[in-house]
Amino acid sequence: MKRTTYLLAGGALLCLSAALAGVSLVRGQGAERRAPADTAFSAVPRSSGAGYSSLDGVRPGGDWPALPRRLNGPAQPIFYRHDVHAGQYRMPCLYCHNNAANSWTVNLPSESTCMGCHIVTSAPDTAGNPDPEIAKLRDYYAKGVSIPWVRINKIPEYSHFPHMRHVAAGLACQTCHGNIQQMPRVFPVRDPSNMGWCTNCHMQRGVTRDCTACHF
Amino acid sequence: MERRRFLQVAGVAGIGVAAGCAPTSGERLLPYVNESDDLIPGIPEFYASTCRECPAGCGIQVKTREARAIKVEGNPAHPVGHGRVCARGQAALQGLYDPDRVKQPWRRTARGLEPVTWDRAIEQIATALGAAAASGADRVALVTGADSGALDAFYDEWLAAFRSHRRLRYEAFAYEPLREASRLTFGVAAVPEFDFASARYVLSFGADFLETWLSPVEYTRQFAEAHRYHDGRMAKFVAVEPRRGLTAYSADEWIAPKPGTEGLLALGIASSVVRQGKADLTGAEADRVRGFCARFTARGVAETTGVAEDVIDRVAREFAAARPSLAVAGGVATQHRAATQAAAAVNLLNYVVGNVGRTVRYHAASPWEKVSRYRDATAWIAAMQAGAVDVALVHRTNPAFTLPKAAGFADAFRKVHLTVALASHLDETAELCDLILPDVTPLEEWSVVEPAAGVRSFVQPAMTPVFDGTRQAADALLAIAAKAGKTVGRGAATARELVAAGMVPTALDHALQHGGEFAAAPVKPVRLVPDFARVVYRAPAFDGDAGGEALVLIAYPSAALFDGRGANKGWLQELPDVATKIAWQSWVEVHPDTALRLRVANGDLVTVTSPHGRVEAPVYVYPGVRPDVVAMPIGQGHTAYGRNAKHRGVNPLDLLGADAVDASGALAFCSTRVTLAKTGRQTRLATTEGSARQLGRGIARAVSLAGALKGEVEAGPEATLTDAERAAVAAAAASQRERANIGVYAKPNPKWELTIDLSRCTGCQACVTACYAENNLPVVGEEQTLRHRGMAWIRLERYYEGDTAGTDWQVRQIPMLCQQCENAPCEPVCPVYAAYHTPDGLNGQIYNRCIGTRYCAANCPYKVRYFNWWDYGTVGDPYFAFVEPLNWQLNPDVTVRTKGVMEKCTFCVQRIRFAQTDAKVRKRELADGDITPACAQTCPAEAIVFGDAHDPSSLVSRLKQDARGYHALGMLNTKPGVTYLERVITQGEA
Amino acid sequence: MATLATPIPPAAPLHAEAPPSYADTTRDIIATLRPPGRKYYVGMAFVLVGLAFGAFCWGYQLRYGLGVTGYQPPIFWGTYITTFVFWVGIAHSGTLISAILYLFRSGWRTAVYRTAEAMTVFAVMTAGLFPILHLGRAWYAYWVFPYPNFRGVWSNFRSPLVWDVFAISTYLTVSATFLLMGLIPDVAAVRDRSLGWRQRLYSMVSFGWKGSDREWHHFGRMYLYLAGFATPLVLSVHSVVSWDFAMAIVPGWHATIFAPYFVAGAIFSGCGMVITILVPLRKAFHLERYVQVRHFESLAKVILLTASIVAYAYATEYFIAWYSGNPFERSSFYNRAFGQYWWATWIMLTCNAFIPQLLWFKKIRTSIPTLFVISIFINIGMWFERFVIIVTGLSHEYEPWQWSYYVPRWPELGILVGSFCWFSMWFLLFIKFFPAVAISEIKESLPPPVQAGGRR
Repeated sequence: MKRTTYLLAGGALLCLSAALAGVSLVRGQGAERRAPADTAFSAVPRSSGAGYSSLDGVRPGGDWPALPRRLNGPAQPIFYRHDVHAGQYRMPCLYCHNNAANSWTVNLPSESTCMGCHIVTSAPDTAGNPDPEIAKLRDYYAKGVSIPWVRINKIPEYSHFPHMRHVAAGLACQTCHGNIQQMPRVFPVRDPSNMGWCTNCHMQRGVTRDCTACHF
Repeated sequence: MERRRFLQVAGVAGIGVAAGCAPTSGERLLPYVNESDDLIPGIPEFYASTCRECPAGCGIQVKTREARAIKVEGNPAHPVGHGRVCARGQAALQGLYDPDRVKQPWRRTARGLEPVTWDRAIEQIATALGAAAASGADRVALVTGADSGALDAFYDEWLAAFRSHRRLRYEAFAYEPLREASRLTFGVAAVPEFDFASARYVLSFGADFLETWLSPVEYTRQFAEAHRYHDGRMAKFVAVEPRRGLTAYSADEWIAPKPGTEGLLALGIASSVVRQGKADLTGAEADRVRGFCARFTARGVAETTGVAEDVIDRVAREFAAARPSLAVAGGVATQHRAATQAAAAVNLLNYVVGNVGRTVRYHAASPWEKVSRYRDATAWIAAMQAGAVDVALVHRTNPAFTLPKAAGFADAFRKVHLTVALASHLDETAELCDLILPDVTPLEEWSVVEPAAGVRSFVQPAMTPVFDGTRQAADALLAIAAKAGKTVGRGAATARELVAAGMVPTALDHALQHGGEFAAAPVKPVRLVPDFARVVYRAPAFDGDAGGEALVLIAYPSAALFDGRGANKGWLQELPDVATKIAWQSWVEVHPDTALRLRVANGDLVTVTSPHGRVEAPVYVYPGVRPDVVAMPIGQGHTAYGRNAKHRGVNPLDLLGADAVDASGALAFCSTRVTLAKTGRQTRLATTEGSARQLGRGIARAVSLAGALKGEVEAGPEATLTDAERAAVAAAAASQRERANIGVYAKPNPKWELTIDLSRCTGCQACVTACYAENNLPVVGEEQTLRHRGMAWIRLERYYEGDTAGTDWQVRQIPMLCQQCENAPCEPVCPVYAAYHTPDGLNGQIYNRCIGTRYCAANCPYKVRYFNWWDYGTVGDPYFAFVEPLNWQLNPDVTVRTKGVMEKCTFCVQRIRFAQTDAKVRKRELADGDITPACAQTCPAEAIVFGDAHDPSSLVSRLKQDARGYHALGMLNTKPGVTYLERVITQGEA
Repeated sequence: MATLATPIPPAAPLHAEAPPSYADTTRDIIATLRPPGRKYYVGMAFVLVGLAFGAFCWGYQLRYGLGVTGYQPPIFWGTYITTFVFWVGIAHSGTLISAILYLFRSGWRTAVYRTAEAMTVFAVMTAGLFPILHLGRAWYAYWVFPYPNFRGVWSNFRSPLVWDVFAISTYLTVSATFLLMGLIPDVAAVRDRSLGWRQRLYSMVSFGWKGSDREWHHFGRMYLYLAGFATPLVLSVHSVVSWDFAMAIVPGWHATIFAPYFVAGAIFSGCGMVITILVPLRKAFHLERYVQVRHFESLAKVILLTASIVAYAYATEYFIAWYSGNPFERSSFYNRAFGQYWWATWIMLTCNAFIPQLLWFKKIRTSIPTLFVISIFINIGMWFERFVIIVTGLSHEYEPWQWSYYVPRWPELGILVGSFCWFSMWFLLFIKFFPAVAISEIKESLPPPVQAGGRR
């Protein structure tokens, strides 16, 4: 469960923290890894209106970002583009990964969550055919089958990472997950099992370095 | 239906987490198709339900994660158990996830068992039922365990639909004598409700009310409440039984009468009370009782029972003086041929001192009154033998195992045209059946039971069935009836509807949330029937000749395995017996003198021969039995049932005669004499016992009541230190504490500590099993237990105090777990900081850092560190301890340890961290009691208290101040975080 | 002639029979390097098989976990730590003889010190394996080294096990240097008589030694310094090892006497092992003229002394256990002598305290076969000393409920055997590649060649 949920939670953490306190982003770890575009994010999706009302075959917010020549990360059953959803449409990450704020582990959005929009929006092409990836989603949902997402991030089971606590602390999610909103296909930016990453941050912020904070 | 759907998907989604499998590149993550608001990954969900591991019916809350049951905890709102669960209740999970469960319907053919579809099976049964009903009345039999409530009524209705009333509510321990005695003495054929909590003097005639008797968890809680020492008071507990077990370990005094004479002793005490003019009776009743009691002279009673006159008079005096007092009859005292008389005598005793209506209360309804008697079972067997039964359905009961072989159940059962087992396991009875329909376990089913007067307790599924092929018995019966064209259940289509029948949705929701509907039942006043005197005491007969080497056999229910239904649960098999500390085996308890006479020692295999059969078991020399008695636990000796139970130990019921019945129609478990013969062969006893004596080391301490009143305490070895030495120790401690003022330690941290009140602890070991469940402890099996390699993080040590030659010796029990020392010997010696001190005062143990030098364990004076000798945690390893689907139960919050790693108790640090994080996110302070380790949560005696010792207002800091408080091995200056409160024992005159 | 910076005065009549000339010495000793015969290969094969079995046992243990051993809680330490301490002990006499006796100018060391030094190095190499063999997760053994890492975790310098790491590695380095250093002149001598790859090898090891006065001068100085440097190690290393136990609170371990007690025991066992090795070596290579009875006698005297010290330490332990009045100590020591492990204890006492007392008699001191037998007893006894301390100590601790009994199982014994084979393998290789007796120092102890009367 863990790896992908961390990954997907990344965007969520970013937007939430930006909304809660822009300043909290400017502090410490978050600062240097914050891409310029990030500050434009907000928990309230500005362009979401456009996103929801696009029944007219026009892709809301203009064309999607062009894909790079080669994509990082593993191929997923559905080519879900974070750079479109989290990037272009600036959807708040907690919209899908809502458990990041109230649980240790983070949820993948249920298909019903996806369908919340895609029951309506299908990003049809000029001929009016729905986008093939969205068609896949609708198919999975119709069949009542879970989408077998490929796991990206996983913390070893001997360490426990309270997402809720880090969200509450207003930590930017890119801090750990990288600039998800710029990834057409998500890839791990660092090995989350590398403890040095955690301890450095905890040392800089003067928070606990007790081993049993994570290891039990 | 919706919720079930979510759970299904969630069940799949959880696998990655629950199984704790290693990250693989190809690993997939399955999201919910529809998500439910009440289901957050990583946050536990609790479902209020009722424990069905024994008929007591305690209220439970099943903790689920990602829609998987991972832990059973008590339901504090429930009147039975009050939020506490015993070891068997904790182990319900292992029944749920047992890999040996029946996963699909089977049909027995000449070639053995063959798979069959549900539809075919139902069709076959329906046809057979139709034929049976057509050919006459009462040709269908339905056998269940002690059942009550909606489903119980439904079963009767269902049976009636096929023109039959052959319903059996079969329990191995059905307490017939209590019911019958109540009828004979008070005209109420019911098991009364006993109030141990308000009793100031408890006199138990053989009743193992802390183990299996009636409602052990609730009674343990009440008893601890009365028997604990507080503000200079405590109830005295006198145990009268020829074998001293768990319950009698808590006794302040142990009286061991000749087996079968308990009733006479009760009468003798009653007579003594009357003679001393302490009887609480008036008028004609008083005269009648006086006249009756005149028959029992102190001398006569003393001679027959082997209990001295002065003891009888003293007990009588104390019993009458302490109002209210309470006498109970059960266990071995109500399991011989004079059982009913014994129970009646105890009723009289209670009546004489005016306990009836106070500590012994009758209600309009009693959960036991409908439960079948042993005589009903034999009648049923006779009917089958006579061919009067065409179809027999057995649901969740195992008569083939719990009935004496001599009763001839198997032969009679085979004569039935169609036998059907609605069973979750392929137990001895199911093995005999033509059709086996896979049943769910109590954690997957809908039901409602009435465990006590005024209590409607609900059972609801905590998760979707583990195996798709399984169906709740009631659902199956509904389908069968439908197939046979009968309409039953007033149109209900599922068990759930049967349970919910006649309830408005809001009421149902409320009941499901709180575990049931609890109302205070009015007490039914009873008076002694005028002709009670017709209950005359007769010395019970014992099969076999009395002469020579013959010893009376006591077959007692095992506290862990109950009547054998726990035998396939690894947690229960590995739970050492409280008296002998033996796990995984059967044994014969022999008194040291008898052992000397027979020239047998621990581990000698002997053949135990009775007129009805013989078994072979190893000897355990035990001072807790009379020299003229041997004792054997019931529960082992299965020939089927599963990998842990099958072909393990022996079943003492094979030694009993079928006709050993008392006046109430109960089976007399204690009705035969046996002879022991050496086989000359040896076996090693899988005992966890090291030394049975603590050699004055002051580990488990106790003080006499008189002493406690004077503020005295039992001193340990540290008392021998000189002042200079004490000063040195204090100085050393101070210097060592300086470390606590640097870095993260300097902050205002809590200090987690534990207090264990030994005057409450009964040694029931519920904490041990709770720890297994919470902390993913592996079950290591018999061979490793033999090598002292058990992994239980908390263990019950049992020491004898005093001369065990007679009956005047005490048992000191102490739960030993990691003491979380402030000056921990384990910490400095670890070369890699895997063992270290956390800022909040725990001895942290970082499994993934441990390299396995085992220096910490060598240096731990309490020996509470446990090493992974084998690879219990890796799928596919020969020692993998969590065979699918047992691994579904693994607590995702706790690392599953790999081989070569040291592990130990950390006060459930995962619970601490989760609570702290929760409080942090909710921006509130942790309150005392927010965090409860698994052991403290389940302790039926409420002996274990956890909290922050830096908070002076916390309960734990207040208890620490108690004069009885001490530290085990305190003279080592380890500064333990566990404070024990000395047990208080009422010696002599109370 | 070449001379050491501080020449050792030749003791009065050195040799009973006609003393060998320089030429004889060189020839005889280098003769030990001749191509080995069948016996040698048989021995080597035997050793390699044993080593392979030990390796197999360890692999088996790694695969299934330490459960394959006999460990039975609370006895968490057993054969491995016992054998570890045993080998560390063996390692001590080497440095003692080569360094300390050198500083004390005792002439008799010359014949035996080379063997002793080699033994030291190989024993340390063997001992060093055991802490790793003993680990639950041996593949993480490197975590005990304080190496810088991104995770910011460190090793615990308060743990005696970490002290061990340093003690052992230091000791290995120094003793190895000392050995190679002392070899230089001899290797040079061998070099001059060998061809082909051997010559290349020896030229390398002898660092182009010419035997000039200047070289001898530096050599002597260096040897002196190293001796001075190695001497304190003899005391420190085994003290540190003893603290593995003394720093713990286990009854029977937690005693201030441990450091001296262990050092004495180490020298005791070391000398024992020297005899065990030297006797067959001397026989096989006919070195009777160089390794003489008086050398053995001197060793025997050292053994006698240390044996008495060890015996005294035993007595003290029991006395203190009684005198302290500490119930745990008393119980533990009572259990040692009369408890379930009485057999181990009495083997220890017999072999270490009683049997060596025979050496008071000159007859026995000077009888090579008897000495050999006694030395075997000493080896056994000293292994059991550690077994008694470790196992009986743990088996009978503070918590009576957790008393238990341990006997090793085959994988442990297999590894024990393997360790002896590992040691022997190195030794067998050594004696065929390097002079087992120091040519140059022997020569110093010989009367210089007489010019008048011509060459013999």
